Amino acid sequence: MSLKTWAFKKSPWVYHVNVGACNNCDIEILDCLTPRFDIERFGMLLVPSPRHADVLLVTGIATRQAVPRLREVYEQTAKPCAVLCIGHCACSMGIFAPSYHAAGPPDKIIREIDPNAIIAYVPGCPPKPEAIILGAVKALSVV
Amino acid sequence: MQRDELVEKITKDLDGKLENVERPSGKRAYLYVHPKRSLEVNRYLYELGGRLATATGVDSRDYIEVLYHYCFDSMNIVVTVKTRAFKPEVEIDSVAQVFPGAEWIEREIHDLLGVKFKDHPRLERLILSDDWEEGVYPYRRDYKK
Amino acid sequence: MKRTMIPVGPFHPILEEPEFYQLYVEGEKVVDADVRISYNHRGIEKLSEGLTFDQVPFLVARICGICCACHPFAYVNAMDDLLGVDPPERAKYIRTLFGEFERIHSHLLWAGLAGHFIGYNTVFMWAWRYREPILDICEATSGNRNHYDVYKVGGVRFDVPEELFPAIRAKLDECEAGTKMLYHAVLDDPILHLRLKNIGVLSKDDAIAYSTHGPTARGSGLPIDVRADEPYAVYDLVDWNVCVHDEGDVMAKTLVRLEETLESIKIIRQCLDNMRPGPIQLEIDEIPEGEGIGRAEAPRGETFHYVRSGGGNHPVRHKVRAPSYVNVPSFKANVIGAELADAMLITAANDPCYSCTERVAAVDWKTGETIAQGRGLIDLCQEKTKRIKRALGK
Repeated sequence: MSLKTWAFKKSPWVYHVNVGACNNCDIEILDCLTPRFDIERFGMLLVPSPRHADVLLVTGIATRQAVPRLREVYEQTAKPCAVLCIGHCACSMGIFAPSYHAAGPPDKIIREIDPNAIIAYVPGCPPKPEAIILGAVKALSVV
Repeated sequence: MQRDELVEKITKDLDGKLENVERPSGKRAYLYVHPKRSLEVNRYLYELGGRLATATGVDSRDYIEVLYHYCFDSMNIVVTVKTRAFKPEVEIDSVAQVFPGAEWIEREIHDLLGVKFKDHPRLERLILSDDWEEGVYPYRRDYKK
Repeated sequence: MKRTMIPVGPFHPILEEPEFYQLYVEGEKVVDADVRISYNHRGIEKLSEGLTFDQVPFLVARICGICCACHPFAYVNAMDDLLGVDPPERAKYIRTLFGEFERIHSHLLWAGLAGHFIGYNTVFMWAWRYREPILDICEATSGNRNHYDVYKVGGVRFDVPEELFPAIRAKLDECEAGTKMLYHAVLDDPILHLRLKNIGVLSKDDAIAYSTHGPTARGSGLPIDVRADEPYAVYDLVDWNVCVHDEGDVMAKTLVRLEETLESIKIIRQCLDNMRPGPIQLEIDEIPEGEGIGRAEAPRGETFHYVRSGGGNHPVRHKVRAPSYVNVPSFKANVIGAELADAMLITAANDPCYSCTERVAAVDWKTGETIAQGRGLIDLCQEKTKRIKRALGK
């Protein structure tokens, strides 16, 4: 294992991006920071900029308005990075799939830029914080 | 004032200006109003103490129906003004010129249904994306994705 | 003095929803703000027309993750209005229970975020920790921490068994203890008083002109609350108070929310005491032609749904108006003229649920340059608190 990969796996920095979600998945992600789940003890940190992130947490269906921003954020994220699609909306757009304003799902948008993107899916509406943490750990073990 | 008195007062004060009044239950009243009178009736209800909760736009064949819903909180009644913006112009007086609470509410109907609100302080795109095509209104019956 | 533009967003670290906030400032004062929303628009009303009446509650619950009870609640109230029916009593109690669970966890969520904005991260951790008992109750009763999906046309989808009541009461006690601690902390802390009082005052006249409601209006002296004005479910059967403060500032809105949380706990306890066994659904064979209006008091204010039926299986038109849609524009009345360091706090005091409102962005294209990105405004807000602490010698 290279030093970079080792450093990457030890304490992933996480950037959260919402591209058209109801906010429930986002709240559950923030819940991971709170005392009951406390991801900070694993060294996972929520960072304010994608340039510092190892993991991108994406929630939402990717609405037409949000697509250019999603592309921008993915391009700015330092590589290698893992993308985690959190929630049914990010995995498949769920019940919002027939919407006239839906342009996703987010993995399609990301693969258009980077066909080799590492993308993991955590379904749920919303997925529990335990599931999100498990998803992050699994994604990182693949990198 | 109780709500029945309120409805009586409205009917009396707006005599000759309402096409019809429906009262399906104690707490709901619907006033049918010609578009020419829409601004006047809306202003009257606002000055009477009604709080504009929202406005609904419904596409029909020859017109777009616009419903303004006013809540009279202390009296437990919602009075709805039902008016129409006739096609093809689809134009009606803006209520936002009377009070700012109506601004976003009318802007949304403009964005999604294409109703033109005359004298609206800021009738611009609000909800649809920057790259959404002009002149395409997703809530019209003939919209195809 | 040159006008400068401060963009906040679209992807801001603590505001989980992408919005495009751009405030125009001259020196340290905000002079203009507008809104650009769209990032979260999913065309819910149009989607509703493609679903059957019974499927709609699942859709509207997902308008907003925090208000996942009030939207289906307002929808089923609209359907009750359309049909002219009154659901069974036990169903009404269960509807009320979930409405109040939602109110508690939403207000505590807000308290946590507001705490973070002013730099009190302990408040954030504390408030969110005391949300957990409520989420546990929701999970035990409905199977999900959020998106309970309990509302159904004519009743509720499942019952809350009596065996769970002792556990629910125990969790409520836990939550109440935490909320009381927070409430007294806000009342007693001199720094919080300096930080929150007289900030972002929304006058009563402005509150009326902007048609505001919910804690935004109740913090400005307007005693409007759908639960009292148009009692639905069992709100007219239980003893509770509408919480109002007159000052119109951020402190007033904070106190309104915390007091409401304690009132909600009171309501839930009465429901648990008074609920009697009985049916939880009405038999509804068909939905006739007609229209209905339903209102529910969400944590953020009045949720308004209008449903029109053509006699078929789907709504012909379903209008959804979430509370923040009407409250958010009112921030123009109280953020313009304010100090930049307070801008985030004033906006947050409206508790704008962006999902409900689809992002709020403040844009006004004139001459300007970018001084700070995203994080900058929250940092400014936290800096001001530190300055106040230093001035107090703490």
